[in-house]
Amino acid sequence: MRWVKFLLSLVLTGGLLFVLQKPMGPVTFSAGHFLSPFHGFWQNAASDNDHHTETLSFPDLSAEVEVVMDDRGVPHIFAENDADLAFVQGYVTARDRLWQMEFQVFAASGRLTEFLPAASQEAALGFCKQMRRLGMVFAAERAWQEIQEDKETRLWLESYADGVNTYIRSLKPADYPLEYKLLNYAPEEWSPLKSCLLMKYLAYDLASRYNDIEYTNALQKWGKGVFDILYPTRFLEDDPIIPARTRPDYQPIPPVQAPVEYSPDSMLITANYPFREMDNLGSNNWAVSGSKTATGSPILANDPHLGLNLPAIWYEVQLQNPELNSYGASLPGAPAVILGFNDSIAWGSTNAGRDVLDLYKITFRDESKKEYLFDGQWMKAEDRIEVFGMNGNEDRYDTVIYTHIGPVIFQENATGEKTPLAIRWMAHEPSNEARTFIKLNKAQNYEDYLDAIKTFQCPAQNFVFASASGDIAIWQQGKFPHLWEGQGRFILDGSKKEHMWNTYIPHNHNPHVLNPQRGFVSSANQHPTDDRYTYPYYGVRFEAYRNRRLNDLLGSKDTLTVQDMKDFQMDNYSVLASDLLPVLLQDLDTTSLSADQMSLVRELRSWDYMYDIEATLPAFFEIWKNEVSSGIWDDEFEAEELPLKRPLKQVTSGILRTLPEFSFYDNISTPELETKAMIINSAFQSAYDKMKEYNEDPSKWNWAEWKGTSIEHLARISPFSRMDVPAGGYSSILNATSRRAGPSWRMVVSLGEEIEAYGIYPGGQSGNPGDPGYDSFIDDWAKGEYYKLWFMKNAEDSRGERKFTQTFTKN
Amino acid sequence: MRFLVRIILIAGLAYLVSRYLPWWGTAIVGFAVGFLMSQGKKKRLFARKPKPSFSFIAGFLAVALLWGLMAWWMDSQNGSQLSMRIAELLLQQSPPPPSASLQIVGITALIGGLVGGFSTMTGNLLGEAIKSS
Repeated sequence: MRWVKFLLSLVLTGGLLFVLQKPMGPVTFSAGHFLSPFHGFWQNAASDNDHHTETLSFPDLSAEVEVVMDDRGVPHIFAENDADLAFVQGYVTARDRLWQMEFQVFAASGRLTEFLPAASQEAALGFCKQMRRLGMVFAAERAWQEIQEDKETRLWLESYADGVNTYIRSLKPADYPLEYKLLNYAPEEWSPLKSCLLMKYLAYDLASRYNDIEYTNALQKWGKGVFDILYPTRFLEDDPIIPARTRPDYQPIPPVQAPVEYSPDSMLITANYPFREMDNLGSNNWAVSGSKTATGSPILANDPHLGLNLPAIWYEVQLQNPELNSYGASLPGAPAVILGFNDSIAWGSTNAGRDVLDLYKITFRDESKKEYLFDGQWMKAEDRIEVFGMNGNEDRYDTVIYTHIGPVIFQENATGEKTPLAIRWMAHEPSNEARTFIKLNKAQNYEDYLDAIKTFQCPAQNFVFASASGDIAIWQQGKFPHLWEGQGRFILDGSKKEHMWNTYIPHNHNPHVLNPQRGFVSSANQHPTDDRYTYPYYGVRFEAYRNRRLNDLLGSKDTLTVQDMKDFQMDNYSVLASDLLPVLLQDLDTTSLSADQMSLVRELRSWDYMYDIEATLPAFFEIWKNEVSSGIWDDEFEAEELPLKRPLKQVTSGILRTLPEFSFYDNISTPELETKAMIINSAFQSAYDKMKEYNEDPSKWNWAEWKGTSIEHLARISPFSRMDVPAGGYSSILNATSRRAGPSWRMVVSLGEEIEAYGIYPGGQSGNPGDPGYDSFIDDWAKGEYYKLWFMKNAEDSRGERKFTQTFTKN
Repeated sequence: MRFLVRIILIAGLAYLVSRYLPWWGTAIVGFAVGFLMSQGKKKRLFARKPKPSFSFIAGFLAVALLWGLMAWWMDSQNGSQLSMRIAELLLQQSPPPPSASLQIVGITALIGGLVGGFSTMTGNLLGEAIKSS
């Protein structure tokens, strides 16, 4: 009987332990481990005494390194050489952001299914397949191969990886970042290849969109006349990066002749490759010459608009050794400062947004797809088998065919056949982007800056520059094919040599300007040049509003200050609304409006076009504008299940402002003939109804509340996210804070004898949701406040506030 | 008094063992102490032979107190920053009520208590079974 009791109790206890050990059902973690105060999440509850002044020793170091952590959690690293600096940067970045670093790389390489719970695996698998078909790992491998040829970059990447790995090896499971415990997995070893993958992830984020399929379909469906109205290469008001009529300082290469027999493929492609649309990515940057500033020295400003996530994409850091002293935003996973300044120069970047991904139709010899036609010959294709680890479930596989053009994706055409399309993507070219940032950290003048950026290939950036010695400049830098007129807008023929990217635009022929007459340089993702630039190029979606506002503001005053720069970054004026609203109001028939509606119209007539937090008109205008846009395009674009791209907002606005009659105004699903005025009036009514439904009281149409900016955790864990952050601005506005994207790092640097710099980003230095430093900058960021950056002269500098100091020694 | 000694013994050993073993190390401690409790009579270490339910309660209280107090202490050092987020995750309530962090401390104590209680009882019953056969 006693044995029975014992056995019963044993089984019960064993069962309990089993249930607590094994993740099951919706529970993704080991409950016993997760709840144990000695092992689980409680260990991630940060307290003030977690870090303190101490000495750590590492055999990998060659000399002593000092790290000062300031009161905002920014590490200031003082080393004797590059290798030690990169090592400690890797170590402290991993200490604050390890999970994020690894997550981003798993995303880039299509490996998320390896640790995600079964419930979210299927959704993630689609994304992972995209990344494999895009050849992300292939691209990173080629970059790493190239980088190994360059001693300096290689040293930085390897030392950084050593630092990260030294930190990872010091961890017990109880010390793992929270997300590992929640999802029940462990960190892997870091490697320089992973830093390359991160760089390629940026290329994916910023330079992998294309319109080739949609444009080919639109051309087929509507013919060239309509196509050119819907997808013009120039807009009504262009204000290019390089001031109009700037003379080239080089002899352009003669144009490439378009092949005579080329007519864009006559095939409708029905299944689009589902790329994530991130329409609100963009950035602003500018530099003002000393002739236009109160101090007499240049001021530089930059705010890249990226997806808003926690942990934030940026990590603030200061790096110093006898060869460099730089400060700014770094990317967790890559060495050096990416956007920032040193004692002599400041730099920043915005996305060029040029189309550097083209699709080629491939003709396979037979079903086996082992050979394909090129230039009259059968070429061998290569298979790459992609394996997807499924976290305990059976592995999945995908075979990706590689041609010399690039990896092949399959699209269905209208008859249901699969059309093989190969991707030619600039990010696949062997390249060394990391070098640019290492060199920029060390640059002392314009020549150094030029040398730093000249090897940067993809994602092409508008690198803005200012030096303490008084120069300002901007270069659109990237590697670009020398195209024939129209090349790459539509699907190309992969069997023809003349359809390939055969030559490239020389680096020094890229759009650029040094110390222009007007006293400032700027960019906001718009057209880089006016039509004097002789090389054909195409944008995926050039911006057409922020640039105009920015150049107006910069030209509006003779003397500018740091405060002006901050005000410009926080500027909530909508050029789009100022262009379009008068046209909408003009066609609005006010005789049929109610008294309430009339008072709204009166307000709209005197609106200052500001998208401030408390403003009540932007929400109504946005809906009205969207309803008008639907009224014009929905019927035609939804008539067929065909991948088509709607015209850009500046194009829709241009059509409304210049075309009183246009075939698309008519709703093709009704017998009557609709007009522009009918669209505008019925859109007003439905916008009004929608806003009334949102809130009966128009004085409560609070812009920030209606917009709802959210900063989400990378793995979409909602308690680790910050929802409904009260922020003004919107896309197409300088303060480009939309729902899920926005200014991810606001920086203003005043150069001169003494550098004065300000910055802030929507997040916090710690990646740990259990640390107050996880999201501590967000409220100040939303309000438009800045932190004065403590640019330390040396490790003894006492002007700022230290939290603790750590000394890293070689044993 | 003896009851208190047992609780302190289990809690103290569990505290030490947890630094070196995974979370289930606590169950080994409970099991071992429970076993010793059953052998107590002759060695006079545990004067009165306790009932199995008695050993369950001792194990439960020991580990529940250890885990609960540890969690409570860490939570107060952290200003409940993390526990509120975990509460939102586990209780699926957004925003979580102000008492949520205490609930999470309570859940931690309960789970620890169950591990301690069952393992101590099992060890105790094994000792009883060996003695009786």
